[in-house]
Amino acid sequence: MSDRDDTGGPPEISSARVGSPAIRVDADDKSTGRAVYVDDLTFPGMLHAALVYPGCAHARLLGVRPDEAIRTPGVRAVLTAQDVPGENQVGVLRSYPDQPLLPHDTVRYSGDAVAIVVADTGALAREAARSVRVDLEELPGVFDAVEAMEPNAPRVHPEREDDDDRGLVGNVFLRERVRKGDVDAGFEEADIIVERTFRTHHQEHAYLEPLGAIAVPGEGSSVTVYGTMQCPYYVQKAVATALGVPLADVRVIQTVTGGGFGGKEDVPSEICACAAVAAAKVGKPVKLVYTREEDFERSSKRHPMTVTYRLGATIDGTFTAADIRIVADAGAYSTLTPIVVFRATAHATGPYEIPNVRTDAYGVYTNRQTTGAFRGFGQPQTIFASESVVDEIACALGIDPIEIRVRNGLAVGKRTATDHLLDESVGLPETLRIARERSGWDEKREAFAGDAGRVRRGIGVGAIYYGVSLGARGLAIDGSGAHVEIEPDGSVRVAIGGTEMGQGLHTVLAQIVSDSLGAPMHAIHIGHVDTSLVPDSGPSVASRTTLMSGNAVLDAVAKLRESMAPVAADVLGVTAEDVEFGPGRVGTRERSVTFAELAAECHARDVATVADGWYKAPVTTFDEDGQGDAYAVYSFATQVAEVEVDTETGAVALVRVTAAHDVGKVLNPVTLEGQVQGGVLQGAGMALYEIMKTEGGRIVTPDFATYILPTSVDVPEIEVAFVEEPYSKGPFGAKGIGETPAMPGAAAIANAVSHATGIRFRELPLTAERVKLALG
Amino acid sequence: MPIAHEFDYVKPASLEEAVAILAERPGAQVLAGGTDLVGWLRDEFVEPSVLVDIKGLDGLHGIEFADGILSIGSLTTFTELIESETVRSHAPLLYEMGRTVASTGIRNRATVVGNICSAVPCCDAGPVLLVYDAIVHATGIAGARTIPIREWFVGNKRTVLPPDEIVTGVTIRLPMCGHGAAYVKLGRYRGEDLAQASVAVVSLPGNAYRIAFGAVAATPVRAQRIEAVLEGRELDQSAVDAAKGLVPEETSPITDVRASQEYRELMLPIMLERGLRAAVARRDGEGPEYGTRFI
Repeated sequence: MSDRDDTGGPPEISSARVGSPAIRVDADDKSTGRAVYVDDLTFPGMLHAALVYPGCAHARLLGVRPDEAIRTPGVRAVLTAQDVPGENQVGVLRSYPDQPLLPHDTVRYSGDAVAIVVADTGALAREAARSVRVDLEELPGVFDAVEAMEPNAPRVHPEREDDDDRGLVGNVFLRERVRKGDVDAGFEEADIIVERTFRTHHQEHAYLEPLGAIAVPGEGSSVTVYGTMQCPYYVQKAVATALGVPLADVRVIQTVTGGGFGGKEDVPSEICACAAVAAAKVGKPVKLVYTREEDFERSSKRHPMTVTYRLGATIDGTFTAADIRIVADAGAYSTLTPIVVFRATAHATGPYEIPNVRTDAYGVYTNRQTTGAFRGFGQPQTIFASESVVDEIACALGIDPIEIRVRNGLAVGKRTATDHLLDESVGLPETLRIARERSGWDEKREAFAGDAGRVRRGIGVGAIYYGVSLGARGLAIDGSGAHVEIEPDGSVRVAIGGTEMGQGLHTVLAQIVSDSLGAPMHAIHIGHVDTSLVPDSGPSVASRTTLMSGNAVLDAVAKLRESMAPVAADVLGVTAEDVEFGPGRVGTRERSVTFAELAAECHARDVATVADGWYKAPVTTFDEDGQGDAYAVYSFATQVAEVEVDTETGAVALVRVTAAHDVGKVLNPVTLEGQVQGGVLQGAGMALYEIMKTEGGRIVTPDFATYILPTSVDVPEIEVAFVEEPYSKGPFGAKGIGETPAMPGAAAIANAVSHATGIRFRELPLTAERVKLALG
Repeated sequence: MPIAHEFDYVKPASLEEAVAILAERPGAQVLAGGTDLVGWLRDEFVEPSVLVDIKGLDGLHGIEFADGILSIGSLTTFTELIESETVRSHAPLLYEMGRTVASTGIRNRATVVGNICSAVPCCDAGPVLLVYDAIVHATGIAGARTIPIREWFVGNKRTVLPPDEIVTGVTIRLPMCGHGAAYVKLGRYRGEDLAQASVAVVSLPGNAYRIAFGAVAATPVRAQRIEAVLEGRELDQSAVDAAKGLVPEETSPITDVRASQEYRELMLPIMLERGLRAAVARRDGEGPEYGTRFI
């Protein structure tokens, strides 16, 4: 392909450099169908599993009667809770052991599968699963977090003891808080105070590839698990726990993964552990792949939140105090809610310096699907609240909404709500400036306000910040590994602990290796994660993977350069200090060899051409009052949305989005733009279309005919602009981008609809139906 | 999820063979585009003994216009419908409706006739064929016969067609003088949505009107009372208001997973007004070009 250079030829290096628009390394495989997803894989003797569902959302489980299913020809086994050989716990946070892999006495949501059927074919397994009798005594359920906080609400986990001292009573299992300054005094200083309550809803990840896993039993008690996932090391621990075997007996290999968006952070542990338990029982490989409807039932969602936001400001628009209450619906089990709520709490003010802050957040059980990671990780919900109130204050004071954000916005030298003094890489002011300029904000804001006809235009803004990587309350390891090996022909094998899930990680890492090692792009081979090759590198989440795996790869490359530079120097007759790696060749300006020639020479001289790399994130803090350097660094973004609202029908057309993102450093502008475009669409889905409807806790919109996602014809004009405020500890200055594109959109769109209609909507999504009913 | 139910599959060489199989095999079902049927098989809404694939049969394809009659063979896909110059010039309402059906991929496969054979209440072809007073042509072992479209729909996913007959096509006698028409479909987004409600309007010279609704009753329905109140009237505001006032008598929308009854009730008069105004403007050589979305 034209963008790839040839080994040994003249250095055609532009595409390989960091910052260049290199074509994705997986483009050919994915566009031709060669990419092998988990459901494409098969193993000799492989059997198929299906799950048995309870058919209701909350019930005492009296028994499972598999007799009829077991008698069916072709059915090999039916497993229930007592067949889990290890510990029957699958939740990712060991400090919240509330989620059995297979429930043994209580069913807590409609996707809470109670048994696994193994059969010769998938169709047989599914049919047999439906013939398994499940004896249940149905219990009243609770499906809304605010209702679940009522004293008489049905308890989802009655086995939990109340902790009155910590306020953990009934279904409330988690509290998080921020206390900064003197909030009461701050409101005293305010000339205007606005308090509003907002509600957001479940959002489905809707990745292209549903969850799936294959477990292959090996020698002794070992097992290899293949699956679509973001976090192979989570899966490794979950499988070892369920089987009761050492971690070293569990090898997890990530297959090509068709999207994640957070939905494949912890949830794959469940399906992989089910497959592994089944495979251990029958002694043969077992495949378990969800249908789309099952995936809806059993995968996590974005947390619905009820956010009450009180903000005070002086007459000149300076924020004096914020008082925030967040209620997060965790669903039936805690899963990642403690981490999501930590992030929501730490960032709840939005990207503003507010001297006095009081935030209280609650994680609450309900009999709904579990909620967990989804691009933005708890923040889009609070942003909708904060950015709406900021807009309302600006309008009340007659200050331009972008201007009020500039006045209060974070910048170097300012302090976050956790009292983190920001000392570098704060691109918020620049994203505000660029978004304002590129969107034509000033003219449109004025022009649209004059619309008086049936169709009215509106323009709105949303600004955000996002702490990159796991932060102070992250409970996973915040280090990452890499293994780099150079073959005698100059080809480079790179193993990493971070996952490619469609976001383009392998491409930017290949660029980083190419740029730093001098090897041509096509010579670099990056594999999907295999836990036997790289040590626990934490999860691929929180916009951390380019940063963490990128730095780990750079650490390994630095070691390789150290061992290879003297060889180059010797061959070329120069000093080792003068040897430069790349672009394209190794040596000095006058005398150089190709990377392949150097590799061959190193092998001939028995010089080490293999190295491991490791990167550990800086230490972060968050005390019990929510004060500290909660995250090492933050990404910033501003998005401006333009809408047209048909005031007769309530239909909101998203016309244009201007997205300005501070990423530290652009490693690949094309893949980066793609990530932003996708995030803008997910924000639009959250703002305008996506509703998960339920009856008695069961999802009645379990497919894309009933759960509406924006399609290609719903895509607005999207202009993407990047700001590069480099992060000193990032690879080439890069921070994270994974989450931020999906974060400001819903707030910006809601603000635009308000600008168009004069009505503030405080519950998402703004479907035509909801807008029409509000307009009358 | 794969289809769990087992069935035979036959691909007859002639229409005669196809209807013979339907007569001989209880539980036989006709397969054309399959865009509804395959989903229903998967959901176990239907469990046929045999699928009779008519896609290869001669004589069921194509769109023709002769002697004022537009014929649409039963294997005509929505893509063929909207790409047909004949349709665009003589019955642009069919074009306007066809463009709103599902997505390009589905339209490449789904047939217009299949749409009315499935007879889901929100089928897009239903209201449009109703306002054109289409004739459905069916063949069984006893021979061919015709069924007026007004008698075709008998309930949710039910038609008068007995299981041993095959629809060979539909015909429409087009108005001899210029007419204007409009199809107004309420979707939740611009993507491939099913109608939450729909209105088809034909406006004829002499101020005659034909109006039908979709997705607001168990079947697509002609709105005869509204047609009667408008008969012979210019479409001034009082006529529009009279028509809108009768909407509750002509429709009985429900709340379902896609929309609430209240919202549908609010939207139907608005849709009717937009449809009426566009149809009349088009009749008079004005109005938005066909294919414009009204919502």
